Amino acid sequence: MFEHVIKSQHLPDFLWSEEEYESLGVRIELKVRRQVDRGGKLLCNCPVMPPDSDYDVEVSRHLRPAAYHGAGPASMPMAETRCFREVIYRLTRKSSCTYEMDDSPPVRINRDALAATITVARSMGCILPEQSQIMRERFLDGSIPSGFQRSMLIGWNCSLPFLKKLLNIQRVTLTEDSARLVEDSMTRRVFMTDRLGVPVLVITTAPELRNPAQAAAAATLLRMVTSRTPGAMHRQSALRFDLGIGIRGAGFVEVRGLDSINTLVRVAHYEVLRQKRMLDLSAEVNRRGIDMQRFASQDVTRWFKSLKKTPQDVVYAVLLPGFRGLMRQAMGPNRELLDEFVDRVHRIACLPQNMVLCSEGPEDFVLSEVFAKADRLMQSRRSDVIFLLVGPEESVKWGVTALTEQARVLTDGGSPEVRRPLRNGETTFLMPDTDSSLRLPETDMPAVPLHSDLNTIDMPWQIARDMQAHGLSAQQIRALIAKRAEHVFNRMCNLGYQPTLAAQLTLQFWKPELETALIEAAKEALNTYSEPLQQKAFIKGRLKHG
Amino acid sequence: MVDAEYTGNIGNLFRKLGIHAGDPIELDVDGRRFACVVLPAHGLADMVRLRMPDGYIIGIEWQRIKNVRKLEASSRQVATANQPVPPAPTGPDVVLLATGGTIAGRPDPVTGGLVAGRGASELYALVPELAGLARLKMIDLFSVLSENMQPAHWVRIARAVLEAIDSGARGVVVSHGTDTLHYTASALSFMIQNPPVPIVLVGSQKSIDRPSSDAALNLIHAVQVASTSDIAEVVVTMFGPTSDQYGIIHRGTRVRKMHTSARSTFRTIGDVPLGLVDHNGIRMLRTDYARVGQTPPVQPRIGVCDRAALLYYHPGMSPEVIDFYAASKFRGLVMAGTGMGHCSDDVINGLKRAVDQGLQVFMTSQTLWGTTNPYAYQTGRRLIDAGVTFLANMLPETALAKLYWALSQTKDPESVTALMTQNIANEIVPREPPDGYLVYQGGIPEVAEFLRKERL
Repeated sequence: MFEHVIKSQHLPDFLWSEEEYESLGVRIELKVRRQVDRGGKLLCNCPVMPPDSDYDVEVSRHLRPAAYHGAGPASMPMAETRCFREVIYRLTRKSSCTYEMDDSPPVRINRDALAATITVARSMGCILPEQSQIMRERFLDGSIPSGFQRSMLIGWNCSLPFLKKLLNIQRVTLTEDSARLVEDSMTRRVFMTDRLGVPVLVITTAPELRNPAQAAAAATLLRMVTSRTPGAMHRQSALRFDLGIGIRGAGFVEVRGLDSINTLVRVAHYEVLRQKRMLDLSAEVNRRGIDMQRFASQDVTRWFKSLKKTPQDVVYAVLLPGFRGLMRQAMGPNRELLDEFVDRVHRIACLPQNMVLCSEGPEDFVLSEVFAKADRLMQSRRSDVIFLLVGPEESVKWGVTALTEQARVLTDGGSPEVRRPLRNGETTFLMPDTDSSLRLPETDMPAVPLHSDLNTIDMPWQIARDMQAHGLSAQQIRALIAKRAEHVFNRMCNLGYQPTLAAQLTLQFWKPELETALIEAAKEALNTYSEPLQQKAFIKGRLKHG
Repeated sequence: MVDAEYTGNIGNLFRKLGIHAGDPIELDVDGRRFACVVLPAHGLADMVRLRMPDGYIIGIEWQRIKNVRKLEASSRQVATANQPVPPAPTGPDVVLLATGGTIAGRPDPVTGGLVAGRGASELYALVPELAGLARLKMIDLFSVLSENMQPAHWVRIARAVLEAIDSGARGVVVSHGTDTLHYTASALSFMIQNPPVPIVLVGSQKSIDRPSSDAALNLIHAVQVASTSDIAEVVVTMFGPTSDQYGIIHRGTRVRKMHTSARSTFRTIGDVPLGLVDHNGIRMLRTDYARVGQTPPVQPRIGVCDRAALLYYHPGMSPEVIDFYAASKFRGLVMAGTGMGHCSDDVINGLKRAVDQGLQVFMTSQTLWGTTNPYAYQTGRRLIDAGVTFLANMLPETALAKLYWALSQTKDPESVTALMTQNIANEIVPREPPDGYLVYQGGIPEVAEFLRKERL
């Protein structure tokens, strides 16, 4: 029964069968993040405020690579530093202090948010420790001024009722939210800090989900669970999902910041598709026996002065040996392999997409002349692909590195990386993955004691079981749980309404601000009329007129 | 043995199973089995500290733990940063004296605490820009946290600076913890008079491992000043605003740490800083500074005598405190008095007794900005009568460092007083500039407007 409560009703038609995903060895890990407004921000005394575009001051920073955190491929943070991409934070006095700007260590741990998270973890059946150390995890996209996100483990290792089996939960953590990106250009990235530091409850499943439909069901279940957190926020963007997705033979890819289950399903599918295409193309590359020794790059500025946008720009030609015919291969409905190359250069080297030109790019008469000349200069063969990178020298050099990295990703069949969702559910490269197990302890705060004597709360499957005993349909149960209105349903039942009618009345008429009026009207309706239709009409009229 | 820190039942079991801190183990808690790594106890009596596979650190009560089993150590290597090889250094020779503090530290991956860094090569890898600025000769003088820096350390630093100058260095950078950096800067200003090259002290508020650290930019700025500026003085170069836009070059005797943790902590007090430094170069804000190539021969006057103290006057202060210093044969006392340099009648009486016993007493102001004045109020005159010497607008910490130094230069009290009142390294500002006292009051509309436009 509970399976029907959490199973998604409207999945897109383009999804494959379970067997097809199974044959690819799909593994999905889901993280559900819910903001909690209880006692202010997590590690300072600032209040949680609604999103706001106004600000009092701007602070400018440039993040640098953190040398001891296992930096992974160095190019990303190094390039961002070298290319002087500026990160700007907009702060309001109302919702920020020196902590948000990393000018002070953590001020305190928010005990109320902590208690709320512990309550959820206990109710889920997690193992809870007696104390937990706040940890720092490297976060180099600029969304947190300190360059790392602070979080703590609240519980781990539990199993929740799921489809035909159990959903294994890896861990429940309490973390601080990152800042909100409002502008992202070649030279600067601007963040609003209104949500920076807001407590976020994070539930992470084991990487055992096998297909997008299962991921959607897990997301529905955990959305219900997190919505019951004391102080859970329900406004848009208070709930976000991250997906870790990997198919057999490919690297595990994390896609961050999904704002709906609908997007999540699309992303899961298109990422599986992209990884499959990458493996197919990798097989083709390896079949061709590409000789990466012939990979070459050269400063060709003096031959291509017309491509320069500013006098300081340089032009580099990069030869990818044997890659001809691959760049226009589809990676998804709207993306080609070429997009993977161009986006990586854009992200790593801060070069705009229109300054990364490829001999296999869209047909262009002028560019075909340019590439004919580049072919001669680079002594390329018919099987080769040429890229021309235009921009500041430092950026262009990092662009060459990024092209090399992407070529290697292709030959390897994929790489662990973090990607960002696009509007239609496809994804684009955001940054190389880092080993999050290399978390470092927060030295400015001692370990935090966790109290295990807190009450538990009813979990969705427990509520569903009670409702099912009352004979409600899966649809009604899902709607009541989603509205968090089971207590009203119970009150209606206690008044003497038949459960199905109680559910209908609750779903039709209940709003938090109308609860007392609804109960009073329901009482009166029951005393006055015996027919459900009359009762319903009476309640409707009473609520409408006062 | 780290595991010896676990006592009682835990310690006994771990010893029996041969489990040490750092070993991977498997155990049952609440009937569920999982693997983790044992961490040092850190004084916990009935709890085991564990690192989970995802890196989180937790503590679990011993009674809940069952069926402990030691696992084979994993051969997994901790990934290290894949840093590109830095380019070969070019530019003038600059000596970098490392003395410890946040700027020199890197975190221990287990405890998270700071441990010493690994020298010049590591520094080049972390801050490759340095290679393009100067050929750095890095000398690990010692590794001392700022709060443990003592006057004897100042002497060692001064000697090392002199050696660097003798070796022909174009400039000298001293990396130092920030808490007492301004004391050291003052002391060096008196011990190395007429330096022929820039002597630049630098620190950081955030350790260099942190992606948002100020260490790299501070170091770059300091090496820029040491290798290219024409300032022949002891200076401190640290973040200007909290935004990483530019560094401020402060005179060593007029600078002070003003915030416990913010990047923009160092401020020139009661004067205008010497200049600004950013990736475009150095912009001087004043012309009255000693210049490279135009100084008299360097005058080393190295020495300290730490039989002196700095006392912050407060309401309720007992004169017995003063009596203690006199009775303990201290030779000098710097008072940070209120306002123009005042303290209570009782304390003045105590100071008079102390002066009569041979303690030399000097007066500064705890307001930091502005000049002491013994004549504006009767209290000041009483202090003069008690034998207290007023030090104009010398900062209290600078006065203490100077007193340590002056006491080492002569045993004659009058000569000590003469040294203390002589303006040797711009520690006294003869003409306080009208905009030398400028402290933003955040929240006032015009300041808010300025910060919105110009950044914090």
